Amino acid sequence: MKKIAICTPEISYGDAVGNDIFGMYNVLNNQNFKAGIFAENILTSKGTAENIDYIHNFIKKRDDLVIYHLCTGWFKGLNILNNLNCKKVIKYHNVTPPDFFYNFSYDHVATCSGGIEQLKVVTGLDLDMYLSDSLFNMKEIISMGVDASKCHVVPPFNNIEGLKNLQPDFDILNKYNDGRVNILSVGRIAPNKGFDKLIEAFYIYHNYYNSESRLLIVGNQQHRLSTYIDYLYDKVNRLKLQDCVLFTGKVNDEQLKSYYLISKIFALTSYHEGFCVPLIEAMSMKIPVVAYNSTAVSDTVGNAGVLWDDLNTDLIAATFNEIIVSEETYFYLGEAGWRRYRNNFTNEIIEKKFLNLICEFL
Amino acid sequence: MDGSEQEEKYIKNLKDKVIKEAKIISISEPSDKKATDLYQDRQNKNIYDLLCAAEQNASIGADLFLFENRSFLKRIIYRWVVRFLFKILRVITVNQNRYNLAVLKILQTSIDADFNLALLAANDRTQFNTRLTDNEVKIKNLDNRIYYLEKNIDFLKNSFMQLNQEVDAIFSDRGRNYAKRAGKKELQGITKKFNRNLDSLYVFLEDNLRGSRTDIMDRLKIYLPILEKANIGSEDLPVLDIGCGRGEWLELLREKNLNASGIDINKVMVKICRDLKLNVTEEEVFSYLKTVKDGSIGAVTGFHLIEHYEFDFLVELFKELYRVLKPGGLVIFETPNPDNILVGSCTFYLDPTHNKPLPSLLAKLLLEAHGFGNVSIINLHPNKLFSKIKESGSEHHRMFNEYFFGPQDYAIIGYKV
Repeated sequence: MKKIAICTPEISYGDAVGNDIFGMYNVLNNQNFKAGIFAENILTSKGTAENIDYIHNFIKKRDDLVIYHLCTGWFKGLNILNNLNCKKVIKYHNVTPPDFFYNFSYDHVATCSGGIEQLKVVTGLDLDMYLSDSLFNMKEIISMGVDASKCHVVPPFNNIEGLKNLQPDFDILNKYNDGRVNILSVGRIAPNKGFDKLIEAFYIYHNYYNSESRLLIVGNQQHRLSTYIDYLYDKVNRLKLQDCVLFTGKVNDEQLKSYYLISKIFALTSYHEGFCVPLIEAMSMKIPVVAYNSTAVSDTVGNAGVLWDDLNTDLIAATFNEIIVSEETYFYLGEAGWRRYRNNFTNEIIEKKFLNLICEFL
Repeated sequence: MDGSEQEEKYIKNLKDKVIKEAKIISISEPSDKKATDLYQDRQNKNIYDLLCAAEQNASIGADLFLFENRSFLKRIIYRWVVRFLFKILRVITVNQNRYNLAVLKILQTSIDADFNLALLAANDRTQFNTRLTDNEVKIKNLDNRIYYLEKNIDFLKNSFMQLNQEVDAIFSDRGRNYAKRAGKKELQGITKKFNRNLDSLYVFLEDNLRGSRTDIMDRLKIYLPILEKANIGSEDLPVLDIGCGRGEWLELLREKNLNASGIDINKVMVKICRDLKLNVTEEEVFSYLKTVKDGSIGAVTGFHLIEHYEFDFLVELFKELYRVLKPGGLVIFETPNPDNILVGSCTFYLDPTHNKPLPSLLAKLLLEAHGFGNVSIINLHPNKLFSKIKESGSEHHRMFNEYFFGPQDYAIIGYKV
């Protein structure tokens, strides 16, 4: 039986990379492979992950496989990858450029710079296969000199089916399902996510189109980015939106589902995305998507949402209005999003794609 | 046309429509410090670009386009002349060149240093914020501890005051006499006295359960018009407050320049009242009333008093009160309302010295039986902690609301006609 080790610097349940890793792990174990997860920081109690130092006991043959998840700088992992004598595959989740974090967090600048350094090293190693979350990521890898025939796009495994079977948090449903139009954005609060522009767009929508509206920003607030978070709060106060912009902080799956259920529009004004799982979550729940067409967003949304090539807040606000005013548009976009999810991003489809590539290669 | 093309066309039409209908409202970014911080990075990049451009043009001089459209001979002559001129110029401008490059170097180094400083500052700021939050949490915990310690100190203060008085009594002449001829009766008296050790505990309970001084004064204000209407509070129509407690009512009467005095058996309460310079006697109600002449008092009040007494005691009390009141005088008693189910079943027993709940009907009949007339009941303090259930006109809903959220206290007022 062939052994496959999945490596990552940090594993936690519930984030995008974590879901992808657990997805891969389950799929591989169901297919006559023996898979294991190896990480340096284990932040989950699921018990399947082991410390990276034990990988030498697991991978022994030349035919075994290592799948290395690349999202931040991790030089210990890179050393281990170099020293192992087996087949090697990279799964590239994208690294946020450090430029976004200057003036906000030195830590982030350091981690992101490390990630980019590492990407340079990894693309130079000429490994066996490079998998990417999106076309955008794949193009980035190819531009760094990797042979295009070794590169493939495999969307990350997700937890949408799990989310669909959960019971929502009724407190949230009761509290915010009050007739006001809820506009939702999901993602950790970081400068690359462009929440300042979203708040501006919402300000226009709230003041010039529909005062019965609310902006829900669901995402973890890291203390290390408090300068940026303060800046956002300041902005909300200056625009006098305290009563209608809500920062929820980190939420659990039940709460997340409730926020999706009560929202009419999913908005994203991010400057940099490698894939953006919340987009497919929203599409799977038939929520119309309005977004700034940056980086990998169009790879994920395709023609199933309204993407603007400029980050023009006036147009984004007008789009909110059009979707809310016209029921036909609302349902059309919802259906289109759902179709896109069904045809491209269900775990079943991702599994087929992933296994085809892995089996062909082994 | 396949599905994807259709979708593309739909989105394109939608975008056209949105562009046509969009209102153009530009938000100007206010020039506060944080907003400028955000764009600092971009400005730094501009500075770098400018420096690069300056470096390329640092050597002074000019490109000469003298060689075009000239004949061969002229071009050779010009070239010689120009070369000669350049040699002279170079001698003149060599120092200027060196100076320009040196200035550029200095600028570049200082901007690099600035950049590093900004990064360090950002790092420091993050660390500072972390420590700030830690400290805030600690301060909050300390605040909590102080709050509980202050409560403990109040309790200890009262206990200490009481002990002090006991010690005083024992070492006073009276105490010594007690010790000399300590008959059975006296010993009983002493035991009784020590039972009053609960006094300070009772003050502590009252402080925590009944409400703050100003709250209670606010609540008692509704009785002032009743006294005014009956012209009570003058020299010959004074008010007597039985069980005056911390003296909120007496203080209120003093503010209105009304004549009033109080009695209480709790030493600590009496001490509190005396500290406020209120006219208060420490005595049992019956022994006090015995000293009062017939028809000499304008009004007798008792707030949260009658529920402490046994029934036969209450009957005696009403009899005595009728005697000491002047004709036209009145009594006011406030007591918990057992008609409210939560009061009757629970909150009444928050006070361990309460005897039995007294329904308003019983209180009314008792007063009337002792000759009081015009007896009226005022319902007070409905439960506002919870919202009532919506009344749909149904009798059951109304009853439910009344039983659970209705008045928690009532006052009974009777006149000596």
